Amino acid sequence: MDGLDGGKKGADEIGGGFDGGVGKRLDFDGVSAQKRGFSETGGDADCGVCERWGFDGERLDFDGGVSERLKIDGGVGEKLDFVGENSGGFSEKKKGVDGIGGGLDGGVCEGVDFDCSNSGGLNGKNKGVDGIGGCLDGRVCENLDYDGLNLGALSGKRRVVDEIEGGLDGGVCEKSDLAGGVCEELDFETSNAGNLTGRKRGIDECGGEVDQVAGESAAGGSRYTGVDKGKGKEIQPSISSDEELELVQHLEYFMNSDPAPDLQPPEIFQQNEVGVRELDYLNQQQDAVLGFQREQDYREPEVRNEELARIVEDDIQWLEDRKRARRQFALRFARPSGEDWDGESSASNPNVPSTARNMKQSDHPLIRWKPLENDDNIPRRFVPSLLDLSLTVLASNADMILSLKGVPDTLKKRLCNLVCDSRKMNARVLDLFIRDSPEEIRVKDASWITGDQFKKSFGSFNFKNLKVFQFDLCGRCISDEVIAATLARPLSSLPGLGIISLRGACHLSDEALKVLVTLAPGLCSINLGECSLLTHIGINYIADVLGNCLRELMIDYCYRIDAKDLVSALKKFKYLEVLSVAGIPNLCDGILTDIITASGRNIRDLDLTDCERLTDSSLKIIGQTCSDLRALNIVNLQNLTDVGLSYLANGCQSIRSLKLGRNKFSDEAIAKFIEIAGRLLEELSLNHVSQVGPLTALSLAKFSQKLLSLDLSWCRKVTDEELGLIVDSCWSLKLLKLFGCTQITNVFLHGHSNSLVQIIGLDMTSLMERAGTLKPEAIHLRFSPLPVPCGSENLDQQDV
Amino acid sequence: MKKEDTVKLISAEGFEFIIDKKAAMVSQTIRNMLTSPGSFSETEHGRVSFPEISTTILEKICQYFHWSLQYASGKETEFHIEPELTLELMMAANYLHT
Repeated sequence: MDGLDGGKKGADEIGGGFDGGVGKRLDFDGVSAQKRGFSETGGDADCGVCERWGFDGERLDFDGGVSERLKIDGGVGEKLDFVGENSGGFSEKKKGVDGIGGGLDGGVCEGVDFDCSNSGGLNGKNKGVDGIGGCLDGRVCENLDYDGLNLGALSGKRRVVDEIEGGLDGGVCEKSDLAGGVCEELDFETSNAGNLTGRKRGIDECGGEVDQVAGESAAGGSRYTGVDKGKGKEIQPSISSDEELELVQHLEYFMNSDPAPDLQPPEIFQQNEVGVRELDYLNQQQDAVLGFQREQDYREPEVRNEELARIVEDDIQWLEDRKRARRQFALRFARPSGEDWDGESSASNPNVPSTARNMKQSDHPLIRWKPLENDDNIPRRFVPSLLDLSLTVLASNADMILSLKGVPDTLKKRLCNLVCDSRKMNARVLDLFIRDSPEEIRVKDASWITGDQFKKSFGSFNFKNLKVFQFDLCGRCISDEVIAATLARPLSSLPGLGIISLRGACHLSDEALKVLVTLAPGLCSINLGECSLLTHIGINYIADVLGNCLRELMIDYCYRIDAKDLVSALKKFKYLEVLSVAGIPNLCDGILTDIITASGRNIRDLDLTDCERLTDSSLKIIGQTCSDLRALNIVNLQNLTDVGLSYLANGCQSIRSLKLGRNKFSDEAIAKFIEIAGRLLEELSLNHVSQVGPLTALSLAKFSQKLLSLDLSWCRKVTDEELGLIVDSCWSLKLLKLFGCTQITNVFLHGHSNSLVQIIGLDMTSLMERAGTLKPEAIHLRFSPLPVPCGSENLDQQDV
Repeated sequence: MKKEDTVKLISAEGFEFIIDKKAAMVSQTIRNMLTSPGSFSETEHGRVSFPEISTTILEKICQYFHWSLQYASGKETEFHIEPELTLELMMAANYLHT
């Protein structure tokens, strides 16, 4: 693996994408990677039946920070072997297997072997198996092997099994805790640990990591988020090259010994006929290039070797222990996938620390919140800013504006929105905004303009500079003929157009769409929601022409497009980041799976509202594939259950905006979701999710510190105390919607101490004033910079 | 009013408005100028000049500061803005972050 040296992260190449062949065993076997196309595959780790390995080359920094995205989804892989040669490479400066842990989903894994010879190498500077623990879902894992051979070596300096424990999911233990109960079985008892590290504490942190939902352990918490992992405990590095040699010897020993059947090195490995010399070379290369610093070399080499020798012996013993342990573990905790994980099933198994059970027991004293003693009883109010005030006045007098020259673009946009909202928009005002060949035209409500007026306004408009064209609700004016006379007139072109939005263009046909797309080859974002004339032919055309560059596609509620016909088109998009297929008829699990697996890797925003045929398996595939999902909308999908939410929690941990609505999720499930994957949440809607109650409130208060907007409309089980707790804990909260919550009284309204939050929906005042000004509007594309069109003279491009 | 409690805001034409410091702090920009560490000359001398803001606008802005303090303490009245001033006022308000 040349990638190992050159200062790159070892798994750099690996990360590219593993193809484990038929995925019997995925070896992060440095050597194999070298030989095989672990490095070549590049695209995606397709481990046969393993879903997604998530070792994206670029993302694989094995940085704490990035590790959240690392997801080794065992999927249906038989055996996950981190035969650590490569891992060795990882360590460079980062936690070696850090990320791996990030999302190790044992899933249906039979055996997860962290054959550590590599891990040993991992150590470089950081925790060796750091991340592994992060999220080891042993749910259906038969064997969880931390064959300490490597670990032993790993332990170079640190706690090795440290993090492993961190997030060993014993099945019902969600992921954040090394379920004490699991611990027993898993034999991460100090005996192993002791052996493992010679110098370190093995399960040192084990206890520390047990996370009780009742929220005690502060240090614990889910290991799933990259944020957590990012803040690594500083571990001083250093493995000397002597040690590296030792590791190599270990590996050799390991390779040559007669392992139990399930520890047999995989065929792949054997095929490659790796020699120890190569491993040695690799190790030394790593050393040389990555420049291990040995400032913590506090032991004499002899002592180290001695210790390592002892470790080897212990490791063998440990191996045996492990095997025994995992069989017991498997027996106790193996459960068929799909089973409810939220705690009900754990009731029958008293040893398993059920978070849900814990919660139920301490239900009553769970929320203790007292309202503020406020004699004045003055409701908090905002002082409207001068900017808002003047914008409002300006908007209401829009007719009298002579010119908007010199006004910054952001203000122009806000003004335009306000004018549209107050229905004062007309051709004259529009003219103010489109004068002087601007780069952006954003009209969010064009329902007032007729086709003729449009032709007049845009008939001589110079489209050369135009980058963004938004003309929503344009059913009245946009038709094929109008397009032909304005945007598509002879000798016209749209070279710089990157974003186009023509929502509601109900007279726009496939033909006109084709013309538009041909004229604007640089399009990156197309929003054609509610364009009811469009069919799959139009979409196919877009896919053919723009498959390589389109990032955002919104075709919600185009009811003439049938999902079956859509599949082939959507598969052609390679870089799709935003996709909205809300309301597309007949969108079922199979179709969505096809689409997501083919083009869903980069998706950050997915809207599936009203696609009622979707079930939990869709959420599963989303969780597995879309690891960078930032926004998800699953309103009105009645067939989803808590299991689906669990898949989502496992897979999509950087989610920022989640819109649930009318789903049948339980309180515990949502609470657990927030705990695991909700730390970056900024916008959460639980509209009509009727089961929301104290557990969710507690979770929100504890884990969602970044929350900006919360919608708890029609959640009638939420009480004053719970709301008070949320509002007083989430200091960033700006907007709280409480429509239909007549159970909320002044106890909350006047008793909370958050001066920033706007509460709407209870008394219908100040409804629209600030409802829309919460987030800054996306300037261009939401997740990428707008690419500079080739050949354009527009050099001072503003990229987001 | 003591001198330490006031700031002087100077318009483009050179008119000087002496207002209460608390009122001026309604503007985030002015607040930053007056309270950030490091020595802005504004902090030292207690005067801030706005060469792009005309006198009428600056006057209106000072009125807004006082209105805003009143509003926050309970007295909810309406702040009237003459339409002719609005455009420039909006841009000045944007600049002053108020």
